[in-house]
Amino acid sequence: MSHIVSASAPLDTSKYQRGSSKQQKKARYTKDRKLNAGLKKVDRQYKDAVQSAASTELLLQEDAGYLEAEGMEKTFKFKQDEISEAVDVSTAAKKFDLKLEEFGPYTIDYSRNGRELLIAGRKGHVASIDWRTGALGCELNLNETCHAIKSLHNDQYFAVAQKKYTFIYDKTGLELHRLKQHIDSTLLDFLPYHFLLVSAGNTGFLKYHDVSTGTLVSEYRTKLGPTQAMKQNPWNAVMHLGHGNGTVSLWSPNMSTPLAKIQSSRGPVRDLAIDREGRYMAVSGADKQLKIWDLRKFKEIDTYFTPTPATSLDISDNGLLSVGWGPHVTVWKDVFKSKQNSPYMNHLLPGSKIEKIKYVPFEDILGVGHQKGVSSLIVPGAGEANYDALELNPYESAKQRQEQEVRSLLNKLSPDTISMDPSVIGTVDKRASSIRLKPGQINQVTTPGEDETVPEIRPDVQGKNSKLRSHLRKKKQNVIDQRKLRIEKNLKMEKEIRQKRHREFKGIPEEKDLLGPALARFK
Amino acid sequence: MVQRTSKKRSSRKILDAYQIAQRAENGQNSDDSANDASDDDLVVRDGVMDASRLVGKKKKTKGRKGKDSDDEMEDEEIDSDEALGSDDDYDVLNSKFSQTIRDKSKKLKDRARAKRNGKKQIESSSSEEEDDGYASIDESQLVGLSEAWDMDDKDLAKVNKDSKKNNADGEIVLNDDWESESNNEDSGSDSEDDSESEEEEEDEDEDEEEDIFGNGSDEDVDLKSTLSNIQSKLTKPSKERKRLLTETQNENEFSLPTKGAKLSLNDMIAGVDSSVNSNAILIDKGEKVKSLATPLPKRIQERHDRKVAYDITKEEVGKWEDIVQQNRQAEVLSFPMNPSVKHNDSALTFKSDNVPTNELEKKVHNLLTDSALLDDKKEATFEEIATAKLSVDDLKKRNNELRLMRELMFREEKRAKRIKKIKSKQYHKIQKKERLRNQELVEGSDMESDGEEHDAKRAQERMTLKHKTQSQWAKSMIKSGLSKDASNRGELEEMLRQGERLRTKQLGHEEGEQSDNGVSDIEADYDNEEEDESGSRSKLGKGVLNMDFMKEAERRSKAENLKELEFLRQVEENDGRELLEDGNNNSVNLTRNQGRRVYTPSVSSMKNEMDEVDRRAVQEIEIDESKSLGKRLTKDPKIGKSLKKAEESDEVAEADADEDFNPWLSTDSNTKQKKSNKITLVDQSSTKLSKASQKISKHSKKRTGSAVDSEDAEIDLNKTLKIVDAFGSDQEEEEGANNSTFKQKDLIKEAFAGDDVIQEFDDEKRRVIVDEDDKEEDLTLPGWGDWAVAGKKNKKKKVVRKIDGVVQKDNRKDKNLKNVIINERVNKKNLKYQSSAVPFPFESREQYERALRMPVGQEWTSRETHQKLTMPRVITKQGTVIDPLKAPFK
Repeated sequence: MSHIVSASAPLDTSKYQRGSSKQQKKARYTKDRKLNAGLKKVDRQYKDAVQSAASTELLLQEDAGYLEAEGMEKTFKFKQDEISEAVDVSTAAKKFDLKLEEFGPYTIDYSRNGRELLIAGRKGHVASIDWRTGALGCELNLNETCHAIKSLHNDQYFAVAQKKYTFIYDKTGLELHRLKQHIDSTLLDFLPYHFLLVSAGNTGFLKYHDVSTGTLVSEYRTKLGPTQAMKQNPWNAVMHLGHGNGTVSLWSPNMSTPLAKIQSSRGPVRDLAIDREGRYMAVSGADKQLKIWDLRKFKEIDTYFTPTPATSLDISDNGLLSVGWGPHVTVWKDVFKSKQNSPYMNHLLPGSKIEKIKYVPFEDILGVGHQKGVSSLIVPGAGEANYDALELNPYESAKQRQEQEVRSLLNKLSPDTISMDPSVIGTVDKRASSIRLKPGQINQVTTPGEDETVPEIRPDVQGKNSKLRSHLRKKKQNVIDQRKLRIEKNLKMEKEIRQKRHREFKGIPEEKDLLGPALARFK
Repeated sequence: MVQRTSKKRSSRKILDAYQIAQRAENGQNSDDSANDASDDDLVVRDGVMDASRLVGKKKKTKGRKGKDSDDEMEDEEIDSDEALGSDDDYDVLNSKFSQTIRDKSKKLKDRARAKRNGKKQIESSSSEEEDDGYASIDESQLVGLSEAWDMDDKDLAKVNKDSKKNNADGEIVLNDDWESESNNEDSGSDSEDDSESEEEEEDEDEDEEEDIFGNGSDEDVDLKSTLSNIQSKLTKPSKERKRLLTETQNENEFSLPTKGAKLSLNDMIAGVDSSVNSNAILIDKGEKVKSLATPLPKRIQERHDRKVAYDITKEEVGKWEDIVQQNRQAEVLSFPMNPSVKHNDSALTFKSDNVPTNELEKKVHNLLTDSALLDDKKEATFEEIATAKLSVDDLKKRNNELRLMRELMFREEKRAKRIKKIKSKQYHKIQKKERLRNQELVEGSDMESDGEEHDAKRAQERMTLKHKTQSQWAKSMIKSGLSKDASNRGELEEMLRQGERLRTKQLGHEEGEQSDNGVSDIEADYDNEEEDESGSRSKLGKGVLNMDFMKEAERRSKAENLKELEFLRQVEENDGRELLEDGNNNSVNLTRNQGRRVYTPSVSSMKNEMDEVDRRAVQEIEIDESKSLGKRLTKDPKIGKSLKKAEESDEVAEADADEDFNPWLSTDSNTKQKKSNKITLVDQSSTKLSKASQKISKHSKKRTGSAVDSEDAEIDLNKTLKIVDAFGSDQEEEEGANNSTFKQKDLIKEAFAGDDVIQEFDDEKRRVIVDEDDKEEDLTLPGWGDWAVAGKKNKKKKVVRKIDGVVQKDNRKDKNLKNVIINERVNKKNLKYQSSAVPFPFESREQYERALRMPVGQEWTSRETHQKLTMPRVITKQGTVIDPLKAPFK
């Protein structure tokens, strides 16, 4: 009964607050009555909205549960078999193993709603499976190396990074496109809200391809050699690339230079993962270090050691970090909160090196692609229990899928909106006030080239041949007449003035006039 | 003085009269088409005359008291005349003008005269006459026109007489005459006091004019005779005669001499109806209506008007202020403002009046009315009519019948109640048999008649399994849902019932005779069967059941059953305790030994179970037997013991089973059992017994620990985990791990010693900081303006330009961050999604961003909020008339 919130009890709205508290304080009063009324109205609406949002929490009945150990038990000692025995039948049914030993290490991907499983063997075996029912969507033998597979905005299309080009196939396995621009790519990712297929690989190029229009949005040279790892930050759609020198660079399609660079490991970066809210990043390097970074502050939080370099990382919706190293899969809980001494779960796939691990959206399942096939493990508490069917619906019908596709295309974001801080969109440009010109300044801008900061460069030579002097020179030396006297006097005055100016220029203080201003003229 | 003035006046009047006469003459003499020149002349002459009069009058009025006011009056009159003249012809105006002037002067004179009279109390008859004539004229004194003319004639005669009489003051007579004349001419509107109604006169003005002139011509003789008189007596002809253009001559109905007085409403009404109260609002009261103040200039007046109008309008509009404010502030305006509440009509909503609204209802209604089904009143009347039609005897008969029926029913009811109360079984049996016999009698006749057919039908039923739900038809019925068609359902039910009946017949006992008499019942069945066998079975002829092996099997089973029956009978007879205790040890062999070896351990366990069951049964029997409480009490521990014993034995048996457990032959049931064993709950509340059993089980497990078991495997797994796990929490483990990692770390350091990526990164950062910092450019041209002399020292003057970089060194975001370079360059493509200035209503960036912070989309807010925030400002319901805004104050 305790979960029923009585009407009088104030709801905890802190989770739904938006904007900084500083912002709320500052803009309290204005003299404009109308504006004040408008602001008050906005505030009221905001308050109502927050209340309303908090009250909808009642509808989120599902709760994520975790493994709990009693007494001397340790959660990481529970075996998958034991878990599958303990859990309900439907969950236990989700645990499966695909033994595919022929076509080498398998990389996997799930469709955005978690319905479809895509597997791609290194040796060209590609298949899409509705993993819950076990129905095979398509199966292809491409007869060339497949590096990565990625499902696009829904389970209808997927892209495969093959030996030379990247291809797009549809659900039935029909080849739709050959992306000529994406040469030798080994990593694929898809930005669902921007409809951008991102590829990186051995060429060191990062390419953004708009799959809705079919145009290559941008391609940037990373200048850091073959890209080792690539993941997207789901919060701001910034791509994180791991490089051979241990740096992680953050890219947007709008900048030819990385938005940030992080030196994470000493050796090459093996893989990285970013949590759903875009706050934390886990980076594993060939130096057997697993580092947790806070992306808000760009600070390293923790460092973990992996016995062998972790080849694959993934963070679940609920913040479970799974690490694939060698044949082991280790799941860590609460790594972003505090340093953990022991993992949450452990799993061993004997004799099969792990290639790729990936959590299934909205499920407590971790898919593992390894040397000898694909297996799915039960990781209690991994998935988001309450899904938003308007956003991603694991149980959507064909009609819903089609409508969702249209809606998402209508809501497609321009690649230009990608930036480190997405909340900056729509706000006032902070630099704008400094950039904006005052009315008088516009004229100055229109006549470029005249920069007052640059002084005119004049030859420093003093005019030696003044008119008076030349005149004096022309005259005979020994003739002294009235005019000559006057000229001489003028010259003397000129010289004095010049000296004075020179002194001023040099900053030498003027010598005090002994006689004072009254008598000085008689000098 | 009086004499003089009167003389002067009379002389002028005479002159006037003369003029008039002359004019009349001219008018008569000259044709209608008289030439303009003569007219002009005439006009001019008249003008001269008038002017002279005017001058004279002016001269006279000069010395008087009320001169100023008179002047004013004059002005006013002129104004009004002008206003009048705007409508009239020039001539009319002129005549009027002259007329009014003339009247004015006359009035003045009259007044002066009255004053003088008042002062000096002179009783002059002529003046009295005048005064009377002006003061008041009784309505009774008014006379018809013809009479008036007669009177005029008389007057004239009188005057003549008078003039003859009073030869001395002939002027006065003349004067009088003139006045009367003028009175006639102007029809009494010449004095302000004149209350005479003029309507009649106005009507006949034209005639009058002629008459006047006629009169004039009549008088001509007199006038001519007097003319010489006058002229001789006129001592002073006015010298200053100026010619002014004033037309006075053309008199008609429009040129009414008003003498400056206005025609008041009172005057007009008084003439019409005397009953009208003088207090009526419209009638202006009193004689002393003051002259109105001069109106304000139009411009100012309009301004005042506007001001007042504005105030009124403002007040009127001000009433709307509240509602307008309210509407402005409202977040949503939905029109129509106050929609009438509409209940949606559905089948459930109650409607008091059953007036047909739609087409269908109307049709139904019509149909009902046509067939007289609508009104229940009608029905009643019909019935009434029916009874009414009956004769008295018939009615009586009918009533009696009804009474009889009621009585009979009552009796029957009573009887039924009584019978129902009878508890005797015997009676009921007899009753039932009787009933059946009766039924048979009824049915029997049918059966006898076509028994064969009946049999055939039955056989067919059996063969076709029609009475079961297997038939296609039945299946389809079930599939389509039974409830769809009542008749179909009935059929199906009937069929099933039939099947049931047949089945019961097959079993051999009649319907409703299923008794539970224990073994005897079954025996009876068998007996029946045996009887049957010889007959019906053999009749069946060939078939599977008739085959040898089937028969054999049947026989065998029958024998077995009989044996069992025997056993049961024994049990029934002597409690069967001995039998149970005997422990039919060979039961396993009996039942299971069928020539095959059974490997499952379940066999032995089953046997044990069987034993257990037997034992329990024995105990129960014992308990049943021990009827006294004491006995029971003494027995209880025994039971406990025995139970314990049982458990023990169970455990042992299980252990045995475990020991020779063959994993290849393990069955599901076994494992399940094991699982359940694993999850046994032992706590405080559990009994000693269970605890003990738990202990035993544990013990047994330990004993069999060496064997390869699933449970043991689990334990082993734990052990292996300990060995395998690198992230163990145990202290030793951690230490060990630390050791290993330490070594690893060293190794890694060694491995990556060559390429110092950290150093490289730091270098790069330094470079970036320098690159993005503000820069200074030295624009000094070396050697420019210098002499290239060896001894010349370098000048210190420098030309430096500052170039703004991306960000200053100290303002960098990554200033204090290690291993991080943050790009500070402006993302120009993002800029287009930012506003360069704070949008209008907002004053600061904070305000604007505060207003922005609440997203509207349904993805980010609750549905309620989304709808509220996206609701249009004005909602109008389609197809409704939106009335103009109504003020609430009305």
